[in-house]
Amino acid sequence: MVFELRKYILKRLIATVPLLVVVSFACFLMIQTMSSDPAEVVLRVRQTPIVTDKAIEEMRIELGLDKPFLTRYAYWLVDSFKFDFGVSYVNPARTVASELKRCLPATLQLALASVVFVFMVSVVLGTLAAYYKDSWIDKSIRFLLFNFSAMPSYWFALLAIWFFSLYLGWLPTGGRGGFETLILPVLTLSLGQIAIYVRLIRNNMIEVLKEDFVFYAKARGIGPFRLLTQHVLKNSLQSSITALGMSIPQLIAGTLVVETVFSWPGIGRLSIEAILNRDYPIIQAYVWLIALLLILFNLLFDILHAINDPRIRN
Amino acid sequence: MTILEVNNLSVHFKNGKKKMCLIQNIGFSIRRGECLGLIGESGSGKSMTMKGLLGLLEPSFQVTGQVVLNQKDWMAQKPSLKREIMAKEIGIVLQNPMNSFDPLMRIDRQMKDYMKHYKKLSRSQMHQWLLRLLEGVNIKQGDEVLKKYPHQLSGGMLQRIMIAIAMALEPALIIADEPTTAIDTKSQKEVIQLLQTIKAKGQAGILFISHDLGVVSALADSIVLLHQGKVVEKGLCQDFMKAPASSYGKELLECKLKIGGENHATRSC
Repeated sequence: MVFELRKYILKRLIATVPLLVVVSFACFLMIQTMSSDPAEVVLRVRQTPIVTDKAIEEMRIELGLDKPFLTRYAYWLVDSFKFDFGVSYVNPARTVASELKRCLPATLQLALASVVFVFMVSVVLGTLAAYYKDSWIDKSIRFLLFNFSAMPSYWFALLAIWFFSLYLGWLPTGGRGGFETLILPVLTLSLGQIAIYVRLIRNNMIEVLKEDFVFYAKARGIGPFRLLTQHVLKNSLQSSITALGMSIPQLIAGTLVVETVFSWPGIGRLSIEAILNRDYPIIQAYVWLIALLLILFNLLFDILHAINDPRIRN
Repeated sequence: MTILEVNNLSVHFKNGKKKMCLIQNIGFSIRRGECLGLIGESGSGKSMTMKGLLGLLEPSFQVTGQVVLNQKDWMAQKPSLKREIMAKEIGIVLQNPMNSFDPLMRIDRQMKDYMKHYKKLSRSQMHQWLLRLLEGVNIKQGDEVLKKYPHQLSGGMLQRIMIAIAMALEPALIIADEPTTAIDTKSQKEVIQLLQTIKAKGQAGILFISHDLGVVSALADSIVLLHQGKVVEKGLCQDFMKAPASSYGKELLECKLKIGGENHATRSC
């Protein structure tokens, strides 16, 4: 079994290499094809009084933009693996890496707390909805989640701030501090995801409950609690595990709105500022980082899936 | 001694105000050491009768009638007690061995998890006991089989494991629901031989559900023939095979003979 698993992991790791090359190239190409000239942008952002052709040319040499496209790509790729993305165009005193290092922990904290919350709530609600299928419990869970997930997250965030922070005065309106500052952003970020996972787990579980092995377990006198926890849940979570792997980077990338509303100092806000300022190295690093995380979590959760399901390893 | 007695068992399906009768007033009894064949074509209500009498149908089905298991009124038992009785006194063998085991769990855990509540043994004693159970159903390389996941084993092997599980706690009643349908001919023969051995020991009564009259005649002492949820004929198996009393029984047996004859003709060509 261990050998099979090792072989599977190795196979998946090797398959990741070409994917990384393609994605990194796409990342680099996307930024390069943007309409404005980065050298000119830098000069304007740094408030150079007169932008002359000569100044632009000098800046191009300083930024290394005079080199051929593929050479620049190769340098960028090698440097990016050393976590060196150059300096910010807006503030040359800061490197892109230090900006990411400053903002990433806040976003990771928010995203991971949301994932844990989403997973716990979805498993409980999904199981209840499936086990009591078509009863009032199932219907009310689905009704509430449908309504919450239909709300845009900024709208829910504002309502939550009004109710919990201003009206009740229980929670802070924004900023990053202790546990209490995490509650509203996590809630806002999680609601849409919870609606997806509850439906996924509920539907999978209803299918699993119809399986022969569930009937066989019941016929052997295995009680409902053991049946659900030991057999049904594990079999129902297969597709959710893979989906959750994709959700983590999505949550990291999707914190943009929530970070803005709750003044959360994460990479979502950093990227918005970078986009508004045309700060190309930061945008490029942000896109590459999200792509990397997507690949990494996809790989990680595929491996988890294989550990859980012996049929995939073979 | 009568192990199972079923009187006036009916199953209705409720859909809003509509009520549909699926099984109507079925009755039979099984004694220790006896095998009763519940026969009929697909959709005649054989499996539903089994699920209905065990209380394993969805709540939208309504089951009425009297079921006496080991001199106890089965229908009146609490759900928790019913589960305990099902585990200890009823052994079950189903028709799809490939789908009847949890695909994510090794065989040893699937066997242990269920039995450890009723058999207090140490880890190594339990392992030895499982090996003996597997040997009892002609599985010699038990150590390897116990480590496998269901998808790594054949249908015939899984069916024999199911029989081993069914026999493990020496139940009073064994219910075999089409145990030979989904497996190859060689495995079918082995399964029938195993059930014959169990019957010969005389410790348990067997409710054998099948549409295959050939298999039924090899095992059953008596039969109950179902058609559209009703009993159309009851009696000794050998009498039925020689001369069925009902016209439906005759029809069924003629079909079998015809198919048998055609096969024979094809082979001789």
